[in-house]
Amino acid sequence: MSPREKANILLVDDQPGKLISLETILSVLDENVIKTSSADEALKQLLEKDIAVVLVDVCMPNMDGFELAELIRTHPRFQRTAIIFISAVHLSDDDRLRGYGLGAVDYMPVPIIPEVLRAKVAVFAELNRKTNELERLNAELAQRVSELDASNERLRFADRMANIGTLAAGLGHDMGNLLLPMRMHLESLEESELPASAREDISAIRRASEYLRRLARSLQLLTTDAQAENAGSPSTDILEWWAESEAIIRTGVSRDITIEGRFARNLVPAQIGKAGLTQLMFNLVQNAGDALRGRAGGRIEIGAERDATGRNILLTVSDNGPGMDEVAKRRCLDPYFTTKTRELGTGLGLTLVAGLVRDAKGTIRVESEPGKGAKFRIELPTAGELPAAGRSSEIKRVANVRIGDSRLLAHVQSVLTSLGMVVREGDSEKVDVWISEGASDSEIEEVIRALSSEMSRAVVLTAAARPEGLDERVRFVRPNLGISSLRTQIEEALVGMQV
Amino acid sequence: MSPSGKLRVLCVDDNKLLADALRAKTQRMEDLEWLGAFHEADDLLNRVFQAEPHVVLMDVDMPGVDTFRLVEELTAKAPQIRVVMLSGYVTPQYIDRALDAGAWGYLSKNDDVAELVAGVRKVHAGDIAFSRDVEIVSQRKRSTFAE
Repeated sequence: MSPREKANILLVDDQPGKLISLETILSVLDENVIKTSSADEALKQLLEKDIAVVLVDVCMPNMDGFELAELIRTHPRFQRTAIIFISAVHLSDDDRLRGYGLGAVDYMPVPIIPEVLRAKVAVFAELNRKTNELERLNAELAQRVSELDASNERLRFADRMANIGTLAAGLGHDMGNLLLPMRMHLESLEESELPASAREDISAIRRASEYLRRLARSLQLLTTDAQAENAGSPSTDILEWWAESEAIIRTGVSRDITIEGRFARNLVPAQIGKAGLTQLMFNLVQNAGDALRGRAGGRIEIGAERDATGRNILLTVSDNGPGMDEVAKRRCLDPYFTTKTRELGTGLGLTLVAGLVRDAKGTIRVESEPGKGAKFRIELPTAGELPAAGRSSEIKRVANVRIGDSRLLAHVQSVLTSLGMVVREGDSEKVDVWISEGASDSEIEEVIRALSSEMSRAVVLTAAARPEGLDERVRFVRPNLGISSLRTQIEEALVGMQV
Repeated sequence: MSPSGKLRVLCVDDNKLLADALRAKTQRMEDLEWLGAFHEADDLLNRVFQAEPHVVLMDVDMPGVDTFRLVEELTAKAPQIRVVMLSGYVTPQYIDRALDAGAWGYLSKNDDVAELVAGVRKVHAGDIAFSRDVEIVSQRKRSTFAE
């Protein structure tokens, strides 16, 4: 039990002698007695302190006791403050009734009987203490209830996430289980003699199954324990990660939103696990997608580059959505802070992101202004240096592929993917290796022209015999020899070109 | 080596579609001999032993079977039979348990078909086989086998 708090007893009387005599009578109660000699002074004390009981002389100059009581009652805070009138002259029944009518709890005639006054004041002082205690308990209870609500919400969320996680992992697993036999049969079909139209169909199925395979794999990444992943010395090549995870990241936002990846060349791997990176980017992109909901021309840009110091990888996720005000910007990483409608947000997505960044020993920052979109900047430590050129596994990892024959394209894509390369179609600007199907001289010339400007090397697939040494950055490979032979040839060609 | 001189492959997986595809695939490979697939849990240890495979592709989550235990028993009973786990679940826990039980590798069902076949050949040749996915999630391979 806390020590007894003294209650404040306010005395209002214009005669100092009466104030002193009241103070003396009440001193044995061991409460705080506050003396005031006018209604003004009394009101000032009432506003400043928590007053348990007011003893008012009815007869005072300027504002008398009745007027003061009336004024006190108009203030919402003093609706229930105990007022006791004391009077030597206004002792008629009308006076008493007026006093009680103003809400007085008592009306005492002078001369005061000290024991009676003390007994009455003591009751109101105690009542005030009890009321205060009750208010404290009520506030505490309200706090407990709101904490309980929050933890219930957390539990429901965790439960929902666990269910979604189990579902996603199971779905990813079952997809993989069925896709593997499909892919095997597809390969068998690809290796057999078939008319060209059938080959095109097969190639289309192959592309769809590759997409599903990436989706299945990333579904599992989304549910992997990212913390366990950090136990070793995690390292993720951002370009390679993007090639695998683009599909799942895209599922996080509505289809009318454009997502573009802009990645610097020759990026050093980042010190974060693949699952962690997927979860963190998925949440950021999903968050941007939510901000863009219902807006035309929504656009999300994902970027990666080395930061100014060169020691970190700077990942960015920016959108052209409504942006955030100062409060949202400051608090968006806090748990349960959300600007979204209930069915959209749990307020935990960005908190999860902040946790993943922290686990990876990185930092996260938000840049945003209302009306100007938002940009999340994440700095992650790098994991070692760029691999030295040499072996096949160290071939630069981006390849542009331009091949007319779709069956061959599927083959080459799967070969390059198995060599750990990222494959792009039809974009000749940002690549290290260009694989082209060149049967005619003009096509070969185009490859060589492109090499002199952008590309570092090229592999040309052609059935015609081509002279070696045309340009040491160009190698010729004979297509249509079956997938394993194609793989060996391309691998050898790429390794041979490491100048 | 079997009288035929081929690498004898057996599959333990409840997914019959996968077994069919593996059969078709291995039958196209001149150096592989398809021994068939077991889909049921009953008496697996003895059936695998009697089939005399060189390499067993084993699903991790066979209904009704503790496959890690099965690998352990098989390794004790017939160390010449090499088991490679083939699973859609690639988690550090599973990989560790498989390696502790004596598996020669862990392949992901998300792998390229060529990688799976290469994995079988690698294990038969006395090497350890891991998918790229497995190497990503498990540091175990590096720490255990790099020495």
